[in-house]
Amino acid sequence: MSKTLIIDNGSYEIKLDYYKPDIDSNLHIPIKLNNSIVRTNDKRLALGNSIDDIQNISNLYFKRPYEKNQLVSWEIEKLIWDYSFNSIDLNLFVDPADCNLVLTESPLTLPKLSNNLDQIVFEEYGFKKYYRAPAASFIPFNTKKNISLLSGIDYNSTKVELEINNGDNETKYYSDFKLIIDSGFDSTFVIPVIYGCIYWKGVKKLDIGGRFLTGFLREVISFRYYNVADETMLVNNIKEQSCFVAEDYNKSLGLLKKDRIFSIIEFVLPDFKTTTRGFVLTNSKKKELFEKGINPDEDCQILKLYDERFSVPETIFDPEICGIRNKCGLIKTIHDCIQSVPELVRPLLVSNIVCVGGNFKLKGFKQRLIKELNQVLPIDWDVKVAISEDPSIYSWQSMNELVKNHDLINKVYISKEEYDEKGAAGIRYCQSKFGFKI
Amino acid sequence: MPFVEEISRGSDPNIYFSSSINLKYTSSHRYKKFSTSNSRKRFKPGAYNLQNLQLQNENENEKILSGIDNNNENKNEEVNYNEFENLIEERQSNKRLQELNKENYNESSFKLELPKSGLNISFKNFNKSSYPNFDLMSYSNQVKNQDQYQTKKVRQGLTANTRKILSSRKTLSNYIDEEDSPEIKKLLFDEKNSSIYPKRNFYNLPGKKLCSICGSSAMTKCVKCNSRYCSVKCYDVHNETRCSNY
Repeated sequence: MSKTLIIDNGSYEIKLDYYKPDIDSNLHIPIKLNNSIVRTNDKRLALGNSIDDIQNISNLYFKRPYEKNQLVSWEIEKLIWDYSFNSIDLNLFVDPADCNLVLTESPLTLPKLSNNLDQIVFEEYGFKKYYRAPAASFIPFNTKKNISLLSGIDYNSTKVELEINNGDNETKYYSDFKLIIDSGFDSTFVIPVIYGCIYWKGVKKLDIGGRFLTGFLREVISFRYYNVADETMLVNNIKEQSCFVAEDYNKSLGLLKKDRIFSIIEFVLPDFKTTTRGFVLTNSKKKELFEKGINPDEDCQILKLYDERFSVPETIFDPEICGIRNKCGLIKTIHDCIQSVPELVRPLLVSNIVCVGGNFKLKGFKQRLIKELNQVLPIDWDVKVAISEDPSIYSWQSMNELVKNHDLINKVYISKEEYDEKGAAGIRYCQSKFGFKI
Repeated sequence: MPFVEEISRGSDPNIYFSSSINLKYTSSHRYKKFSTSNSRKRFKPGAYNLQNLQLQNENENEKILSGIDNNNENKNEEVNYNEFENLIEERQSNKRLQELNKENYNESSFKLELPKSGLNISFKNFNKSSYPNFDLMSYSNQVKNQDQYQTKKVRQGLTANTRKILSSRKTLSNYIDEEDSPEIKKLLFDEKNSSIYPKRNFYNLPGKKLCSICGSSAMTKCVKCNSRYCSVKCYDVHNETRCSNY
């Protein structure tokens, strides 16, 4: 029995691991690997996760294979794939000749770039069988977890009753209607998935992602406190550890004036003695430092964050804050998407919203989405939003759930023999099976 | 005594002239119109009708689109200002987006090119024996550090196709130029006309009134450059740093 390798090839991180039948796919945590080559301050190159070993994180230069959400540079991507397939750190040791591959690509990839991907997979690596699709199309197959997240029932006690279509006598493994919001490093997609297929006419895109938020935070900190213009990684750490989404922006601003102590966060900047990455100063951390003989108020350089904590993520909802006036926010994007699907389906999609992607790690996203969508949509529609504990790996876990169904996945694979048989038309065959159709 | 009025230059002499009806925009009008770019139409209190406004906006947009096609200047003179303003706004916003959406500080001045001769990559626990089918590169024996190996590119790709893909240094813009089908080009990369980018409507959301310096809510605007500030302290900082017309 050949192994199945599952790769979620994101523009920030690659999530990959083998399919393991004995582990529950929603408890299975894949390996995460930075999808970049980094040139460090002392002019060495670091690949993938070796960035974690770098001491000095200032003045890094990132080079990524993705450009505007399109996988362009195979020169870099192949290096990273080779590293992840073969190194001892990850312990995968992929033998492509005896391995199936399930892969994600970003929605709406240029057909030519998809062709490149197919050629690399079959001709360079020679995987046995292969399937690729946008990450969003895998989500409906994770039925049990979806139900438990949407209804708030504990995962272990959730029961799934699979419907059986009488006509075909086939069991259905997916839920019919899902609205996926995929907010990643580069951009945010809103994708309606109806009957397990992506409804391409309704796909909407917003050009604001994690990189943009980091960029804005970098500018704000540089203007108000210290110059961090070339400290992308530090600012990213600050964003991940301290930012949150305010449920009511104006209210949070008001709170800031009333009691400053609760809404301020203190971030210890790296000084290469106590820390190289920086951390948020909480009470327990303070105690730890005192025990080591360090007085954080005197010895450490501290960055105090006020309204930046919630006004930076606010740009997703209202880009006008940072001076971008030709784009609309996330809510309008979702609303437009809902308007473009058939009328009967709309309320069903609204009560089945699933959010994936690293941006949803920010706290408070769920409450905010529900609140704002309730304002925009008709009052009798029931808005339900599901965000899992780690939304960045949720699509990978859903892929795992699909692979679990051998009957289902075997129907959609393209095998290497099939590809070789078609000859030069092989790439067109792949694109006709996997590509988007509008 | 009859009231004599001068007929403005350029108007049709055969048509009955009355200054209130037939006077065209003169150059001074045009200048005024352009300089007060932020002025909005005022309505009587209670006269707001969202649907009418929406319709009006749509009509204007259509006019703009049709104005590009036929060069009837007289008809679309007023509309062209709007278009011009939109273009400026568009350009400014795109510039700002690009500025913020950069990951590397020195992106414009420095570009990381992978050298064709080989790479100096520090792998953690990198071990030759653990690379059974790593035939893209072979390693010379010059070990600099314990965990650093010099790699040399020997062969690029197994077939002609993959060799081409792996060695190409095309950027995304090259691929867009090469794309044959104009529909896909328009759909993916033409933000103005594509259906996947939702259009912004200006009247829906009241903009947040935030201080451009400290980010708290601000009611007052700078007279010179229209950006907001919340206190005298912030105003001083604004004047020193960000005010473009100071």
